[in-house]
Amino acid sequence: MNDKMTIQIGPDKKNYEDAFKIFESVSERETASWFREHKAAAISRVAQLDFPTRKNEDWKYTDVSPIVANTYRFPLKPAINDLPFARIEPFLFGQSDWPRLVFINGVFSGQLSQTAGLPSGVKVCNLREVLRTDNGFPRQQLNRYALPEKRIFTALNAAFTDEGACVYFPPGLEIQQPVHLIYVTVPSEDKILVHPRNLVIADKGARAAVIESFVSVSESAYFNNAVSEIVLEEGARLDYYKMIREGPSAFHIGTTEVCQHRSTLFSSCTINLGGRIARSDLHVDLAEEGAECSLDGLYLVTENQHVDNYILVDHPKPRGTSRQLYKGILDGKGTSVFYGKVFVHPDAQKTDAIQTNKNLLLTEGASAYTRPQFEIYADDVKCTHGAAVGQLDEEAVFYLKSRGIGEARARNLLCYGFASEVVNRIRQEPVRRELDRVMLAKFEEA
Amino acid sequence: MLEVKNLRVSVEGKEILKGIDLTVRPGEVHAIMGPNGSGKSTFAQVLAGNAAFTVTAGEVLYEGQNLLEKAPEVRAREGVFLAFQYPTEIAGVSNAYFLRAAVNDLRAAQGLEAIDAMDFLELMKEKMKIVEMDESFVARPVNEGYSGGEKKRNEILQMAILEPKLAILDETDSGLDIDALKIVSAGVNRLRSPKRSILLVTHYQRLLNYIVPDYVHVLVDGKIVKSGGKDLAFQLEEKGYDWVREPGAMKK
Repeated sequence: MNDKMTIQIGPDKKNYEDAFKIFESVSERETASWFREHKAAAISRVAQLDFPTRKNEDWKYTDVSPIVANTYRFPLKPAINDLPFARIEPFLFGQSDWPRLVFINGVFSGQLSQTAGLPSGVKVCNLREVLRTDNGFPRQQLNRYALPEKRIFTALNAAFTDEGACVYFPPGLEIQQPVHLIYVTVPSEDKILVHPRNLVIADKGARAAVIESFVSVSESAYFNNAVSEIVLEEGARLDYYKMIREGPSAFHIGTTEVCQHRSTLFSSCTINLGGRIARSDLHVDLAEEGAECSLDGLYLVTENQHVDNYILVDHPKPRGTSRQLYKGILDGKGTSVFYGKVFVHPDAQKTDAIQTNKNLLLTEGASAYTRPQFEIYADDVKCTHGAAVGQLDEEAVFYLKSRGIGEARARNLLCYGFASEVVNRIRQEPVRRELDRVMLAKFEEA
Repeated sequence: MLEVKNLRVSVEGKEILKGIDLTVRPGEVHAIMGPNGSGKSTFAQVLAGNAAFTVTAGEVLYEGQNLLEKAPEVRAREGVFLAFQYPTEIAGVSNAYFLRAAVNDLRAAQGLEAIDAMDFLELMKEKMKIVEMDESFVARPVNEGYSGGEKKRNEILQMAILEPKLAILDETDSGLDIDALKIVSAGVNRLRSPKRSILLVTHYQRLLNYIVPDYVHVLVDGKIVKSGGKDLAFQLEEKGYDWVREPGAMKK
């Protein structure tokens, strides 16, 4: 395929439908019929849905018009598939032996990926490989949790799902090394639109970790519209990290849908370090009794960045536990949104839920919107939430200065300390170390 | 070392210190005693450079230089140290990291090169023995979740590491049980030297049994109303602060 096959899509929604037709006609992919049906249903849903505006309650503080008004090139084939390893190395947390899948502008790179030495039964592969067959779990699981019916961005992703990650951990398996999924965007003349798609299954009693990295070696504008579906079967434990290090002009809209079965533990940390507009939806369904989730987030927002974390936790069954701890540090004219909703259904007695969002504003121009909320329809529950937006504690600044620490360093130390609460909860030591390094570097700059 | 002349200080428009005069020579230990609200802590905070207080008149010379025009960090680097009455909690920053940052900023100001993490750790552990602190406090966040006594010990630990020329100890005895008081006092006594001056700010005479001052000053309503030797503290303990109060001040 050559450059002539590139497709301009947007700003008119109709363009997406046209693009879809071309996409399907030129794709000589031997995908299974069930998958093609999914895609057809998704694109017809796109036609019915509208892009959200700020009148939509869920998008009140995030204006997507700069994203959808753009014209993007849809990368049917990679312009570049020979990115030198050195370009992705900085994003590997110093762990080049971790199993990883690398996608360049949305296209799988076998050369940069590394899946050797995985324990038997573990599957880590390009999603496209499993979409050719009628068998196996992808047919049962894909599009089951991230429903195209509800959100246009999810529907778009479902329509254009092509390459992505398929990760499966077999029953009872405990794997120490996390599986790293890396979506790297490289410079291009046109704005690129990518639909990263991940399916992660932790089977009964499995213990594992997955890291999604969205990184860029590009200053130019592009749009990543990502969807991940994660399933934890009974007794499974999964750590999930989403690391957003998109380029300064990049748009990122991502949805992670998590389904937790009985007695599972899901821990996540969503880390926003880059992107012009970055919205991360995280929906956790504690679908069965005794499921527990711990959702952390950290965002460093600067210049004209906008970061939106939208978290929805469903407690449909009794004895579910959910924790949210999101912290943000903003400077420049950065804006952030925390919208955390915990929905406690009538059957969900003995629910235990805590939501916390704290924001540190370092400049007058920065703003943080925070909306932690509960909707509770059960009576025997323990739910608390708290939110704070504030400046650095001047008493603490004075204390540090009184020890000879300079003004700038004193403020940086306090920011570092503020972020540490989240960073220190990260169980993967290399990830924690890398974040620590990023923090120290950022807060040493000033 | 320190010369305070007619120092007047206000906070939010209210005058707290109403003309303080005090001279401290190298190696001397002075106790500033006074009832609650007399301005003792204000005096300590002003010497350290807390911007929440406004100096409206007077001057403070430290080693012959105008102390009041210097930033708090500069004062610290030149040897002024305040042990806080209520040490601030610094979440997420380990004691070791914080103190090494302080030492290295201090060393940089003296034209010395930074001390590396391992060497610093050794130094810190050595100094921790002075106040009998457990090694776990190396990695614990600064003052966060410490008991009152642990915070006070941590202040003296910082003093031991930073080696100031003028140490101001603000109510270092408050909230300490007798054992902790002995440990903290012994730590301070070990840091006494002919070159180091100490200003003890305290409400009670009790501390002065352990750290014996050369001079005692009584601060009432923003003024030093009486000065004397260490015996003055005993008299105060016996007779109470009303004994030295000015008749006018009692009426309010």
